[in-house]
Amino acid sequence: MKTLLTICRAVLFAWWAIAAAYGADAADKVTLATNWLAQPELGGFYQAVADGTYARHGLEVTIKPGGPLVNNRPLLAFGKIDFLIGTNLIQPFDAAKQEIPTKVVAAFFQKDPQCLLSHADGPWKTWDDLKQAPLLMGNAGRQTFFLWLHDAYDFPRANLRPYNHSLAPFLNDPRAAMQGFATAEPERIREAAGKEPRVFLLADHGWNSYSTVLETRNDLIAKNPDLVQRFVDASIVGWNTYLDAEDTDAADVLIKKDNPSMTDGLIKFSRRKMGELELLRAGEAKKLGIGAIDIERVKSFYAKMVAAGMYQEGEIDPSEAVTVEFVNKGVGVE
Amino acid sequence: MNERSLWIRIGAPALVGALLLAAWEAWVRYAELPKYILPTPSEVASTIVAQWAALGPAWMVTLKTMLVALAAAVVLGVALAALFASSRIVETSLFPYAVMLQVTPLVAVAPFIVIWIGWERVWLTQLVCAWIVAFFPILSNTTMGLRSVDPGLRDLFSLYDASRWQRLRLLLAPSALPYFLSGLKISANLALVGAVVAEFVTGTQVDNPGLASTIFTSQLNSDTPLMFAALSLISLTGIVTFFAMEGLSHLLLRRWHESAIGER
Repeated sequence: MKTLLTICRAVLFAWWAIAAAYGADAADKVTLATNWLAQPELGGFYQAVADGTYARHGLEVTIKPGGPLVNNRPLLAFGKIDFLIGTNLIQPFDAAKQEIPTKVVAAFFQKDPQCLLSHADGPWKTWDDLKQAPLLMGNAGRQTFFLWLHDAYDFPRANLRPYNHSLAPFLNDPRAAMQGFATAEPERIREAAGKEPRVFLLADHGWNSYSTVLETRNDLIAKNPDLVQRFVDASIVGWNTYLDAEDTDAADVLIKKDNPSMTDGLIKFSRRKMGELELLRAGEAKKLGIGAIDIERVKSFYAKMVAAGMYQEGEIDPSEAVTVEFVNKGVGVE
Repeated sequence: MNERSLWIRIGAPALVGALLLAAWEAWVRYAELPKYILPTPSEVASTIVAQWAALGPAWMVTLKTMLVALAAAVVLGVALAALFASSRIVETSLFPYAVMLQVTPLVAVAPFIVIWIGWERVWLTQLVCAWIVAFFPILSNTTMGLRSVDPGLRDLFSLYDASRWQRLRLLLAPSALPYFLSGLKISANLALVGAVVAEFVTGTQVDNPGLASTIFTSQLNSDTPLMFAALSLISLTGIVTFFAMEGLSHLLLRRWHESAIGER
């Protein structure tokens, strides 16, 4: 009897020890830092946290939001975070130029939601009209897409006006134009002024950068490609759910918790626009799955940025700023 | 200041600086830190030389904003101080608003200052922002100085029926001068901080970007050596300004004021 009890104890202990050990390395802890405050434009990642998709892929994910004047980028190279959402392909090009060992592993927005806005009742009705408008633009825009606007469409530098994420200067002047995200600012402006502004998507005029790109460190790709693959796959699943599900409350609750200024109205508008404009499922992403990357397109965008004066011809090999190792596999495609 | 104290004044901080830079250089090399995380001082120096064509003009833009804002801070700070010192009621009624101006975060009000001043006048906007940051110490210290006149001397001037001008030139100005100068010392470098911050919050002047623009761009492009190059020019400006203000203060006070006499 006594031996039986001992055996039982031993078995129980072994079972407990195995369970504990399994539990301990069942989930890899990773941190994803984003480029902005929590918002529906990052909804797929929040969705994958909220509905347990990351957990099912063996990941315990913490999201570290960005925001105005927050620069999460150095944390990636430094190893304090594992994944970073970048705004477009320019900073990955810079990383290649500065020999920072990071890479883009997935491109979530096939079309950049970056747009120019003019008043619904204002004088600027077409893309070409905008060249005459005083153009509210922040520092980041001036150093990136404005250089392209200037090179490709002769937008004059003299028209630039300061922009600090406040709508006030735009609302104050019917002749003003401003930068914005097609998924957010039109609704913010409608809430403030009653009418949706005219929206001009840069992507419709040749700005072919991917947006909301996922970046990670080269050493993580080399040492633990399985982890990177699981993170990419789970994020794609999260995005499919966030775009298609009737009910995304679980993700939206997390978004609103991280960013209390986010309203249900803005979330609804943003989700609708991401669908309507096919931001995530444009072109080849329809066949290859969300996150798809086409190296030729990366090269074409680089060539445009060279023309805009941001880089020297041949200064970097743009295909080294990205890798297609983890995408184009049809994950989540019916 | 005699020769020995001059040597200490210049030599001691220079020695500390050289030691710190050497330690920095050695540590970065030893730890093999990549330059995008922390460049060595020698990398920063060579970046300054290599990028001088862009850094030099940007430096001048920031310097100009700083100096004009400082001049405005002196003129308006002293004028307001005179007004405050002229009557307790004026001072008590207005000082809270001066404090309000001092503590309001520039980042919050900058978009509105841009609208009020007019978005074509970017430089004027930056000037006003830098002035807001810089003027308070001059106002506060000079007011204090004007109030600190020896009551005995005040009575003496009344007794001899001194004119307003005599009172100002011979009594008020000398009493307030040391206070004003210590305010100026603080304000001068606040004007520098203000000029840089103003450029961050109002967007750069399109054709004449200053050092804040360099810092912003280098951050965006992950060009850490260039960022440190811009930061070291700002530091250099601050150090030179500090010593210039010390020198001015010494020059004006050495004959008579306790704070400077001891250093002979």
